Amino acid sequence: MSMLIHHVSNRVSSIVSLIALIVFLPLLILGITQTYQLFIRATGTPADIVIDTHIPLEPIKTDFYHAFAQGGEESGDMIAPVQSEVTALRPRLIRLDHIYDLYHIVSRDGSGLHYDWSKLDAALSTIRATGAKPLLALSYMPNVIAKDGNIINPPNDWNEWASVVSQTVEHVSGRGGLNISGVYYEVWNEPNLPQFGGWSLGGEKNYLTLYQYAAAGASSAKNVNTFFIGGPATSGMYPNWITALAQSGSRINFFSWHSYLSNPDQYATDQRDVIKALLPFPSYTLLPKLITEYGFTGDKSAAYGTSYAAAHTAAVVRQLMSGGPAYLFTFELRDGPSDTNTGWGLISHDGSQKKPRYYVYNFLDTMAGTRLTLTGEGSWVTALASVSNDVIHVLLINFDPNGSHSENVPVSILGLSPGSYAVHQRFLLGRDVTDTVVVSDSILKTQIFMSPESVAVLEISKKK
Amino acid sequence: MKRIVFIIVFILILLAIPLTVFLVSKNQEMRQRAAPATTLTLSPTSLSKQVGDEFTLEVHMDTATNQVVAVQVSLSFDPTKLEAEWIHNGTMFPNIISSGVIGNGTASIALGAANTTTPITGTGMIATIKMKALAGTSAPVSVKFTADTFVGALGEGSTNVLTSTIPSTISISGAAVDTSASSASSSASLTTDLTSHTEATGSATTSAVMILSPTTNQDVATQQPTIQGKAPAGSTVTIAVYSTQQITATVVADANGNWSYTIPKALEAGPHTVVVAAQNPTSGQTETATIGFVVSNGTENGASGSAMPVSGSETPTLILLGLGILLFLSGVSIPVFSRRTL
Repeated sequence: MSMLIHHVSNRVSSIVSLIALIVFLPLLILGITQTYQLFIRATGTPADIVIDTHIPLEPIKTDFYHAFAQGGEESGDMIAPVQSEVTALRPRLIRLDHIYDLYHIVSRDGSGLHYDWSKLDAALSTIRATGAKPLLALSYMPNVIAKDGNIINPPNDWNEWASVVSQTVEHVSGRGGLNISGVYYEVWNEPNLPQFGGWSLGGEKNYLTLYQYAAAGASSAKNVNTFFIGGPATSGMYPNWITALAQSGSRINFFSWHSYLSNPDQYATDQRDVIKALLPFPSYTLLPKLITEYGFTGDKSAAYGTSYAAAHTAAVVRQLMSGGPAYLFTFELRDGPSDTNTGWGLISHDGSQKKPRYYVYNFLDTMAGTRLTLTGEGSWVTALASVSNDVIHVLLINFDPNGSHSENVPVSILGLSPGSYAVHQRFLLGRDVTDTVVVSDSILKTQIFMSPESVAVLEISKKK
Repeated sequence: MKRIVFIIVFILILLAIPLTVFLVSKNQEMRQRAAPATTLTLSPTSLSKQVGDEFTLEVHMDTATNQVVAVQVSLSFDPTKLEAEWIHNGTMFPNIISSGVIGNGTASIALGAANTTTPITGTGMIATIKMKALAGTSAPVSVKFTADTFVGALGEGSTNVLTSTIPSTISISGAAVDTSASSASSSASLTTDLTSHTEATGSATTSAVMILSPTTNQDVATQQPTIQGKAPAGSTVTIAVYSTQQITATVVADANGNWSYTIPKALEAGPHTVVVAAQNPTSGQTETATIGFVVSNGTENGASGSAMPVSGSETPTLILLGLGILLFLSGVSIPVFSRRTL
């Protein structure tokens, strides 16, 4: 008996040890990872910005980030109640998805498919009134043609899907319809995610088939203005989806994806990776790339209403100012009706509150001009310089994922003629001061204190 | 009489088949050699600097007849000797398709034509890189193109049309001389050049690194030849094979200094260049050896287990073919003459 007890004890002991190991090993790994990240954060490199005015580079684009997406928060024209606020953002493109389910366009009776464009037309009218052109995500499958009536399923007849897309293009881009030129049509929305169908690159729910019929339908539209069709609109930049589409043989005018990434550097990495993936496809390498939704997280978060979101937005734009996408769509314009303080919107649902991120876009437009060579960016503070009409602008962004880092940033500007210069410090939603600095040896030196999650522009001009 | 005519025609056909195959293969080889070849050069290709000096290198492209739409420029260098400050596009490519990135010993940028309807052709400067000399060495160091440098052109499919790159070698002198490098060597300017097609003539005989097989300009029958050679025992040998697509690998020399590397994918028929490099533990310098070899029109592919036979080199094939024809003729003639004698 005692031997049995002893035997059972050993076994129990072993099992308990094994369970403990299984439970604690991930915790140990997590702990080590967290410690490592804390160490890395604490040992980053402070910025020491040096700008060389002798080396002008390419013109800075300031239109690509004036693109915005509105999610399917509710049925109907969601932008109309905040039209004036949206207009002030000077949007170039506004993206709508859910066009076939929330706008109730397609119906069927005994004679076939019928189209009611009234709700979509109202939303498009508002978009045009803001000065923007629409990007329509061709989503989701109209329930009257979908298998089992499920809007994330393939259609019962692929030709009906092609016909729906053809009718959409003829209505929106057609000279006999709304007669809008330059409309973007994106095939589906985040097709790889289960909630949007869990499409893949093969099998019954093959995105390439979905795309092929959509592109064929769009191309068959008659008497239409110039329009663009593209995809795959995945929830991240997945090179295999991009290259599969490039090899599909379908008409492609742009590639698109979404990016919900907290690290601004990753946006530039994605650009490099997509180019590397497309280099073996020379006919497709230069096609426009559109990030049709982006943010620091795909989840709703109270941080979307703080300076954290504003600094993240500015830091991402800075990463993409050179060699970036054709358009970068902020998600989203307006909170949903049930959002309290965690919505993605730039503007609260009732329109009463414009969040800090709302003010970033026009603030960044100050940087329009010719990019100047800049070195010395740090782990937290990134920067960009430009010159326009003999005025030098330096954009400085302190984005810390922890929200706690601040630093005093030295800024040196080389190649200036001797004299007195006005140095105007302007912070996003913050202080605005002007100093005078005398330059005697062609180098202007100054310092600027960057508090956590701050965005600033230095404006340097020679005094008359 | 009809039978004799038939036999002659049959023999002529037999002769014509290998002759046709031979001529077609020669024609294909000529076409391969005439294929447009884009080159990239770092300019100046050699220069001397003091520790602390800042200088600029230019990346020049000659597209040959290719219609280039995009180029990925990736450079590497010794980060203990050189530092890159920035990399920008040049005048030839106005479109930055992914921004310049500086890393520890690396720099890269991707550039494109304005659009695919206006591809780039000709010669010009595509990028500039600003560098700083950090430490002196007695042996020049190089800034070279890495294997992921890629040039895409219309009409060339997924082929990297880049066939040749020329690096820049920099002699750095100054107070902070790197003590790991010993006496100067006049042959060292090519020592770390693994991306250049420039033949380091004679380096195989004077260097501690040697390529024993294949030998210079040897015809090899297999498309996946094994490169063998000697290097300092235990040293890491870097091997670069310059073909349509560059192959780079590293192996470690054994205790006797022998190393061997079998090329993992089939090389196309025609000339190829292999450059190997390893560090000489005595001098501290990296030394190289270069040879050219020719892959015959064989189709052996061990990886795929292709059923196609190995053609071998031309001379034995023709001799065997001649012998076969003679045997065939003798076989045919025996019954003919036997009947006559009967």
